[in-house]
Amino acid sequence: MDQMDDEIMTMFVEDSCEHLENIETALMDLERGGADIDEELVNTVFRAAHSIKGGAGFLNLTNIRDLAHKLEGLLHMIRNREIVPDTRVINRLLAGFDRLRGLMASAADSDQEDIAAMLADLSGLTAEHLSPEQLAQAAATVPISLPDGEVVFREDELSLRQALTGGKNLYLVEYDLIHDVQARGKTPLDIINTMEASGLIVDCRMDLTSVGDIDAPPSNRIPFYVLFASLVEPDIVSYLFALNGKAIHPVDLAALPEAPAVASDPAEVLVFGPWRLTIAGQRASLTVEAGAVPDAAEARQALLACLERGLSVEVSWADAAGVDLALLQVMVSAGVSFAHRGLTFIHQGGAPEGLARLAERAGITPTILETLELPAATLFAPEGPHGQ
Amino acid sequence: MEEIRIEDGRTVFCPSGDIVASMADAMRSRLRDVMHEHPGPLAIDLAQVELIDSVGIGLLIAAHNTLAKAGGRLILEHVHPDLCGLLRTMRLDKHFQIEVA
Repeated sequence: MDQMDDEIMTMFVEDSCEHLENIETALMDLERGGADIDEELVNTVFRAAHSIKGGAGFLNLTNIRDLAHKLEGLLHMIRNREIVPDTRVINRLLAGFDRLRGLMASAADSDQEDIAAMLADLSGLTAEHLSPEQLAQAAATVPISLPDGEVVFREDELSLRQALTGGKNLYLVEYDLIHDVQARGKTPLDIINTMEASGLIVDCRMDLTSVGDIDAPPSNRIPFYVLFASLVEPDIVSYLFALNGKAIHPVDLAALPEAPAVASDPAEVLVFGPWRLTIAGQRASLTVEAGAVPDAAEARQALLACLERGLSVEVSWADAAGVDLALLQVMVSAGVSFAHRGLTFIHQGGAPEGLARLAERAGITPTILETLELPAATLFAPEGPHGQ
Repeated sequence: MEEIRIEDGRTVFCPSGDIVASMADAMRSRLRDVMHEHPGPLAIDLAQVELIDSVGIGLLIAAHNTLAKAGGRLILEHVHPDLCGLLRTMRLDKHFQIEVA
């Protein structure tokens, strides 16, 4: 580590310790207030975590950054009244900040420490306060595209909704760093400062390939896309950024296509004979190869894998070639097991040929399903391509 | 004028001032010559750089794109904290390798 880095590190530790100085008192005051939160107090603690996170990111101190990030997330939820700062929550925060102070004492070696358990503990606390809907949103990816259909960003729905708390507007802004910034005597830092003063940069991206390489003539266009959340209304936003209205696209979250079953984590695909189980975040979908014989034992294994992981599942089996009694039994018992654990088990795209007839021959009717507290749609799927 | 040095097997290009439009053409041709002469890892030492404008960013991206074709990435050394903030905000830290020290 050279001198310059050393100096920055010293400054960072001094600043951080200053931020951490009054945190304990602030947190205890927060606990006394309970659900009736003092926003200024929450903000003070939030800013401490936020600024430590930023500095640590800059210095590549992964442990400090990750811990500060988790604490910041919890405080964000308290500020939004999604978590009540009761004794249990405050104790976790106190422990977290205490650990942060410990890491700061030997900041340069802080990445040697094992803080995995603390991070997991804080993640758990955050997750238990998310509604099932929010958990699904966290796992759902929303594509955000230009009017011509080119997808510029893929964001998880929960972050988007959090960025829009308070009825803000969401815009996809297209800058050209040469014409919109350089030619107007501005620097990229100027536009970023303008935006941060009037909203939140949710994400941004540069189109690197359109710049060419060092042997190409200097590019006269450098596209820079910004996903921006702001209270500023659409009619004012183009003045604010001195941009042609055509370069600013309001994004209507409600009108976005249904989030596909893709999570921020790459999907995991497990193969059980003719069945493919795709797991992406909190979503699982089970499909059968078109025209294949849907083996019951293999289906059972796949569904058990979902149950083990606590995942709801969507089954697409309309294209299966023939269904036998064994598979019918597996599907009915899966319906019972999933419902029993509060998970959903639904069919997508209709029932396979002959299923309803087979079920009725076996004495399984919509009424029987009802007595098992299963929706009739568990087997007697709504009219699909092969609906009976 | 820029200073060139070879360090730890990488070529280090050190601009003596800001990377802005008025300097960009000259710097671009120097950088192109250096990259042809020394193919392989390249770092740009920003110790004396306080400002990079849009044209400057275009130049860094062009150098990076050339390196990326060979499976490499541009390394930026001694990045001033303000510049580092800018590069991070613009998510360029996901493409370039940014070294504070």
